[in-house]
Amino acid sequence: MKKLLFTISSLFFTLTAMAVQRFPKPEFESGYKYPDLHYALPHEMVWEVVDIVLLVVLMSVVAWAMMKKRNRKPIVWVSIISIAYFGFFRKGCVCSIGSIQNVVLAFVDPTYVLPLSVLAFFILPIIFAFFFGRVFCAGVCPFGALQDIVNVKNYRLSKAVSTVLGIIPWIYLAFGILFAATKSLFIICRFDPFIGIYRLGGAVGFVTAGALLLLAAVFTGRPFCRFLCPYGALLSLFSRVSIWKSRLTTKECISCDLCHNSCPVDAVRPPYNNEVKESRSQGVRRMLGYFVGLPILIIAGALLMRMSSGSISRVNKDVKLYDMVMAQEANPQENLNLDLEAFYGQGRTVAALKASYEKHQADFKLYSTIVGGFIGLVIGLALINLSVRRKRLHYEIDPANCVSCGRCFSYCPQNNDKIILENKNHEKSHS
Amino acid sequence: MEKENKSKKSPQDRREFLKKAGTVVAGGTILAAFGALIPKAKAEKADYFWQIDWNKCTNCGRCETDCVLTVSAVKCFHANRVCGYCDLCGGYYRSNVKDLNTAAENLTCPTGAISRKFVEDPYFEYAIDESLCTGCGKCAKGCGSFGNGSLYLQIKRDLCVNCNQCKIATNCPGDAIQRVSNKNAYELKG
Amino acid sequence: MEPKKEDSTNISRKKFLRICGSVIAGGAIVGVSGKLLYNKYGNQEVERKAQAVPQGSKSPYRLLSSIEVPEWIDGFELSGDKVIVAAANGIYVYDRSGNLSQNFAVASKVRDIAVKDETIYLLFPTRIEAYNMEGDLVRDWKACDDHADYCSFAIAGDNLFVTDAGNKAIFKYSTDGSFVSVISSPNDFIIPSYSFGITASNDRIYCSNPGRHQVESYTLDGQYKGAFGKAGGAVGMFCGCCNPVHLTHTSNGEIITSEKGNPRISCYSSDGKFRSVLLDSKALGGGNVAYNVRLDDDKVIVSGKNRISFFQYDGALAEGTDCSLCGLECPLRKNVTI
Repeated sequence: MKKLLFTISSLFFTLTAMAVQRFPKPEFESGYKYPDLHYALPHEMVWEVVDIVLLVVLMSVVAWAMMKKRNRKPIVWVSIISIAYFGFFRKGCVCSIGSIQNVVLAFVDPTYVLPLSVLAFFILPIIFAFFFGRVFCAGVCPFGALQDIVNVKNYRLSKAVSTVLGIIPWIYLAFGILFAATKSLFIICRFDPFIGIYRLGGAVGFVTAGALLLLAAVFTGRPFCRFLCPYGALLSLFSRVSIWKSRLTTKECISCDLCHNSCPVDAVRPPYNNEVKESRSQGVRRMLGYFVGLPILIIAGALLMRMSSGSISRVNKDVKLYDMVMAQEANPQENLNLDLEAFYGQGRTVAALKASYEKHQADFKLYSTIVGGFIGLVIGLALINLSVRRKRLHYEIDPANCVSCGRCFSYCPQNNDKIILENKNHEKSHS
Repeated sequence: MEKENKSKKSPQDRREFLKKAGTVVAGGTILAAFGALIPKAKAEKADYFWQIDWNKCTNCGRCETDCVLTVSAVKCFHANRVCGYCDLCGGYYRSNVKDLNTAAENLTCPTGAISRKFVEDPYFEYAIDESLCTGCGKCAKGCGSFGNGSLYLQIKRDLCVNCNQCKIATNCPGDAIQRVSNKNAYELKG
Repeated sequence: MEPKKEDSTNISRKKFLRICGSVIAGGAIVGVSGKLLYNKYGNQEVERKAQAVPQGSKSPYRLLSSIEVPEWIDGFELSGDKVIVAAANGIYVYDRSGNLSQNFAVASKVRDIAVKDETIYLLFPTRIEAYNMEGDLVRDWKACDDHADYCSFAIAGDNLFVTDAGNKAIFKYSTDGSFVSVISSPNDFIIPSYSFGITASNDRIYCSNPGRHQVESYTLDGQYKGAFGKAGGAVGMFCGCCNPVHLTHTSNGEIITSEKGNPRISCYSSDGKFRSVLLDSKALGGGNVAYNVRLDDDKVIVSGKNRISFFQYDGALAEGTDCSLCGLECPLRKNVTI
């Protein structure tokens, strides 16, 4: 980073000096002059603009590679550029995944002003997902790019494991929104496994977790994206109903199964002939089961979270302080810890703290209920999805899970003109 | 493909319809969210940077340990125009000092980052070497309690990586770290 | 699909490359994470505990009662059975048990307050005002100098001795407002902040010279008589840049000082011998700001934040302290039989 040294002008002094208590100046007889003070300025705002422009350009490149070219090479380049720029140079903050929390905070807190770049990082990938599918995840997201680059040998996980683990991003999203809406903590930022790698330093626990995730990413595709990323869950909602969907090949599918085998996130659905014949009464009973089971799950989730909202609220700083103050008032100690010392030293009243505490408890109760219902809904839908059988005639890409990495294209022989020519020659020589 | 001929409301048609409805709902949500958020996002007034308000700072020492960086982005600044230039500086010497010399045991700063230069009797000019300062705030605490408070902690803009939520801010006992705009990147003392 | 050429001795190029890639990727991840772990190992977070308040106060004085004032106190003075308090928004007159008898508004930034003959004198940075007990302005006059920045004053006889941080000197006025003379120190007054206490005792005025860490004494005509005090942090010494902040005296001539940073009330003899700490930080109530102190018969009265506290000597608490070993006929121990 450039270090810009800047002499603070006297205007600055007078502006800030109004708040400072003036002290009588020492009388210097030797003609001593006060030194000029230099303070480094923050980075220029031009990088924020570059961020947004690069975001749009890179996502467009991925969309073009997916829809038109059907080639993986541009996507690899995009990944490398993203790791270098968004990852190591910009150190990955503020990222699209964290921007969910900023947006939620903007909705809840009228005094919080959302920076335009954060809004852009939130909404642009969603818009692109709405049109082209999850092109952000392909190589533009620095976390996705990192996992993609290291994915060498891919082992597929069983459907049971991936379904259960696939619920976690929704739970993470729900809790992230809960803690952001109650102005407690940005958990997505706090529990970020890869930021330690990009900052080249960080808390031991998180760097280890990041390293382990990367190690897992070598053998199974994108564990963070599939099983942790809350923004991925959000994007999947929009990519499911995207306007343009990517097709595996424009030519005739020869059912070689290479695309299905190569997909790191298991998003290619093979053809399926639904042989199961269900009688009408059985079908009606199944539907009734869904109609009864789903609301039960939702209500159970909501009630469970509402009851535990008190314990969950302990994450909030004011609630923790209130607990400490109550303990101190009931059982006065000699040595106060730093928070209590600051609380009493600044002259804050217990009554004001109590009012803040009550407000937070009410907030937590409300949002926990909603979040609990949401989690119940997610679990219910996941279960229902497991029992739904859809007939498919061709190999299809599941737009919700596809991260637009393009491996399926690179393996499909029908996309490779050289192989097609070879096959044609082969047929000619044998027929 | 055979089913399409049989009935109008085939499962595939229904699915297509639901998908189209989903697309419309999704598109509408995006537009609504965008419309709701744009008024809340003003580029000029938006606050990007974290800074310490020295009115609320208690010099607790968490700035040194809680920053996500290996060496904290918080450093001590010295406001010369507020300083009293005292020979028994409350930030330079520790509070129960016996000998007034530069032995490390007599100094407050654990890394020896504060140095002083004799100006004239009895005035000394104090300066901080930022490469040694760890942001622990011991000197600021001493100066604030015994002196004029010309030593105070600030977040350096070229070191801070501007996390979405400052880790020190979540732990600050006095709630002193807030988001500030580019113009007020520092809250300087006079 | 073409069948793979599987030879037990030869590995196909693709398989070999795949193995190499896995090894490199795995090795890189383990290596980087190992290095980062090695750097971060031992990142112990040693939380600095809050400054431990000394276990048990060693003060020989016991808190009797206190008066809560609605706002933070700038200064106070005693007159008869009245306690006159100067706060941000006005003057409050209480009796000893805390009943408010009078309250009138004055301008803000009262630096000090003194009372003589039922007249309340208020010191502002550049002027002095005098009020009667009902709150009517009797007299006021501006500082005689443009650089005036008054800190504190004391009344001796018919004269006001005002300490000035702007000019770094003591200005002598008569109580009817006319300027008399300026007193400068042969050691130079070094005043880094608005701490420049003064008190008048037995035909002498004692003022603090905080930058020199000493208390200086002058005759009422301005002749320098001497100084005492040394720099240091232990008891009996003045630490930091601005101590002692406030001064008062006993009827015996002992000088009582009040310090900031590590707040304490100490007692010195008039020639500078340290006697004892009367009230330490814990007894006073902690914090960093100096507590204003006045003596009244046998009580030590202290003001801090928004509270006036009355302390009295307690023989039981004084056991082992310097106060109990002091052989003087101290007026503070006069009525105490315990």
